[in-house]
Amino acid sequence: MADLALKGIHKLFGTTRVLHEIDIHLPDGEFLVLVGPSGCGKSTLMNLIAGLEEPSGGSIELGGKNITNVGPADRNISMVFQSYALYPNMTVAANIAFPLEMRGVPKAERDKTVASVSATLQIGHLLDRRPRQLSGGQRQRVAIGRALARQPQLFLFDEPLSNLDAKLRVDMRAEIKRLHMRTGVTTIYVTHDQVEAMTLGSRIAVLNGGSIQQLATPLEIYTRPANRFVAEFIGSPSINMFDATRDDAGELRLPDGAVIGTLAQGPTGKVAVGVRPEDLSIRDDGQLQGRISLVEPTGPETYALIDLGHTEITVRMSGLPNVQLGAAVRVHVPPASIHVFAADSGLRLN
Amino acid sequence: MKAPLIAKAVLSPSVLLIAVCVYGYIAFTGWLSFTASTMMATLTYSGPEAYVRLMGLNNWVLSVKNLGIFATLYIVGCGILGLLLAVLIDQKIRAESGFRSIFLYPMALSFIVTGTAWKWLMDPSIGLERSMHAIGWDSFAFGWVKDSDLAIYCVVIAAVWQTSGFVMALFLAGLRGVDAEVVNAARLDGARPWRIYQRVIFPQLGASFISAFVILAHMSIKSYDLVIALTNGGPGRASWLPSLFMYQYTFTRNEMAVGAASAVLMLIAIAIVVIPYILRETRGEGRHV
Amino acid sequence: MSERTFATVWPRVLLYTLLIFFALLFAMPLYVMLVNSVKPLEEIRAGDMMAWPHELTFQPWHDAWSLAQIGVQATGLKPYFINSFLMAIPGVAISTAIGALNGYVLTQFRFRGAHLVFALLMFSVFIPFQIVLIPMARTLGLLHLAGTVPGLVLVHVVYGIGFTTLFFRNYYAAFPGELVRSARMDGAGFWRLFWRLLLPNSGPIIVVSIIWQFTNIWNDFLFGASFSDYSSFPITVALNNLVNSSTGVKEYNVHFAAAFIAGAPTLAVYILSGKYFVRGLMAGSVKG
Repeated sequence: MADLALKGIHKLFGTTRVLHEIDIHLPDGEFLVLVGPSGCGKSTLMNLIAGLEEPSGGSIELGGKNITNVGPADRNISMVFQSYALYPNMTVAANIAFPLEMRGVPKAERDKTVASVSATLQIGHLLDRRPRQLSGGQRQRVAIGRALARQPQLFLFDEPLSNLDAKLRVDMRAEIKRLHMRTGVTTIYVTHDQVEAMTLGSRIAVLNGGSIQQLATPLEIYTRPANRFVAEFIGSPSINMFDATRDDAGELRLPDGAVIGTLAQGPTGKVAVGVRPEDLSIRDDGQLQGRISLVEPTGPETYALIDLGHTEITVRMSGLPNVQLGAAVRVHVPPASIHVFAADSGLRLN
Repeated sequence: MKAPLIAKAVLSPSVLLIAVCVYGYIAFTGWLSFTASTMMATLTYSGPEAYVRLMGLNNWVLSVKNLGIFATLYIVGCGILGLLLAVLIDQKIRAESGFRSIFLYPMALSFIVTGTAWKWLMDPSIGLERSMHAIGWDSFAFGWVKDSDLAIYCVVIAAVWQTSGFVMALFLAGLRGVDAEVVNAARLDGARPWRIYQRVIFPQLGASFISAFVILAHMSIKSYDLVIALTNGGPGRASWLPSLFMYQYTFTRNEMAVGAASAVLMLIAIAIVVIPYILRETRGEGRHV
Repeated sequence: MSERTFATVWPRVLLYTLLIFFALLFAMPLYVMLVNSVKPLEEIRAGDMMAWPHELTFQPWHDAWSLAQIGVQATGLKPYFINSFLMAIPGVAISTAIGALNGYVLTQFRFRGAHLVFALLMFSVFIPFQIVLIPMARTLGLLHLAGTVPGLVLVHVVYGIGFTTLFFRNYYAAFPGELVRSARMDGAGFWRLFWRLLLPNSGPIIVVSIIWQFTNIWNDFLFGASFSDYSSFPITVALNNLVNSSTGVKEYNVHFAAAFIAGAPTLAVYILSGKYFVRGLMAGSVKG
């Protein structure tokens, strides 16, 4: 069984704390996505799991074995790097076979593994080429092939698609997902792209400032973000945020006096209220009042930017509705669609 | 932008100077090597006599043989020591710039200065041999510098000491150009540190090896100052090199044609090593500009 | 944690031991030079070159500077030290200035043969200078510059142009093209582009060129020995003269003091310039 357990992992670089008390339990075969903005510590966490760096505290267990003090070579973990990190002086075949060679696997068996791995990834015709002769997508596959060859207990992917162009990225995303379904190897996948995060992972861990903001399924992260950061990070276009005040009766009032919703239990005073663009609609009975300042048709959808006076919001509509630039409109907010966060800590209140 | 007249005018003095003082002079000396000049230069052609005479001179044969020994040991010695020092320094050590400064400072000194220091250090009557006797190692003998057969090796030692720092700097730059992620990949793939150097890092140092070879080869052919200061070509003529031969035969022995011929051969030797290197470097430029 | 720390401590100990061993080896000749330059002669002859002085004397330094016999004159190194400066300063300044202009023209303008010119310049850096000695001696004679310091300056400028052009050419080749284009669009002509845009941004490479040229010119021996006479010897020739003169008693301590005096300026430049020295070394060798 190759389940991964991170307990109390933290990391200091000098006096700067880069990772705070990371706890993750990943059952065998699961695909976890680590997502967060640059500098949130996700690459550091990957390096710690791989054994390329030592944690300042905490423990790592893989398949029940404590690997915290084990070197990277002996952890039975494979990694696909952002820049692919292929050996420039070796052929594709030699690249894929290298980890096997380092483990003393005899040549005949190495050749067999290279053949089967390259067939799976459809790079069999590239075996005699050098990395510099390959395109970005081809190098990607070779990097994945090298990681597969070892049949590891854990796969780590460190932003593998960020160097590819948009169309290739979409194709490779699907390939990686299919690969996981076929091999069933426990996988951690790091990305800063939230679309990749939502589509690939069975669970997502959102990181910021070195700590996990929320660890849950994509659906839960989207519909019930645990704090303001997660709400604003996931979702495109981003969630609309309002500064509101909660009165004793539980009503959430905007600066212009409009009531955007209610929160039965909670602190009085300042709160933050978020509503996703697709939950809003332009209706005559809407609570909010404003003027359309920009219309962005994208084909399947149209985004309307509406100026409410104290803030600007985005409303997402399907198709090509008839909205007029400059028109005065009212926007409806369904009561169940609001996300309320504490003004200071950002934690979810509802 | 296409070059205006002023640009060409600015460049011309240098072009002229180089054309005359480098290539013109090379041609002149080349011509001299086909004359019968002795103390003064005569310009009448007299065939390849000087070369024939040159090849038959014991002094020349000795000089070339010494150059073979010197160049080989110098290149290999600097290469190995330079690479070793670069690898050591690349290990994320403290006081890295301090160590680098110590290995590199000999390059700042004239060969005459360092030759003087080594000359007495290697002298059996006051130098290293004496020091070893003083601490009780009586059988230690280091009279190489006075030994006809071994004097050239003394020059090798001093030369390797002087130039290894430079080779170290070359290789260090090369090592730092290796992608750290590739090294990480090798660590994960199970390669032990020595294997990582052997299979992943050193193969990527090709450009550094070539640069080091070309520069060391051409320096060894040109070596003059160090030999003069350390052994003055001695004992006798035992540590002569082609550079000394040329100077002696031209200015002291009044055989200008023979001296010129030796200079031409030195140039050809360097050209063989350097021209392919220059072609590679400037051809690469052509694609960018 | 203990497994890992043991495995990483032991190689570190070996690493530092090796480094310190080599550092001592490299420092040794300099140590020998300094230590023996302040010993009285009897101590050197009697004893151990590596040992710390029993008796300290600065007489050898005084002798080396003003009393030592060099050639036919007993003037010490002082006049020749001055000669070297008189030769090096103009040599460095002129060759650097010319190199800068050449680098500018070669990179910011297109003309036929630019690559050939560059290749020929590059090759000129590698030639064995023995091959130009005879014709250069003649030329200096014709120009009435034989055996003079200005003659040496000329020689060093001519053979330094290759290096300095190489430095500036590589530096200006990497200069942002958009800046040049926009300056041209603003009406900058040939000289203004150089004076107001490129040169003010050339600080690092000017330093590199100065350091490299100073070191090479100050340390040169071959040209000094071939083209100077007793009045114009640079310090390297004077030093060699002092050490290799076969008459009389060998005053080793004076030789060491003299060697240190001869080496001090370039050593000082090296210590003060740090990374620029290395850049100079690299600029000539690996494609920049």
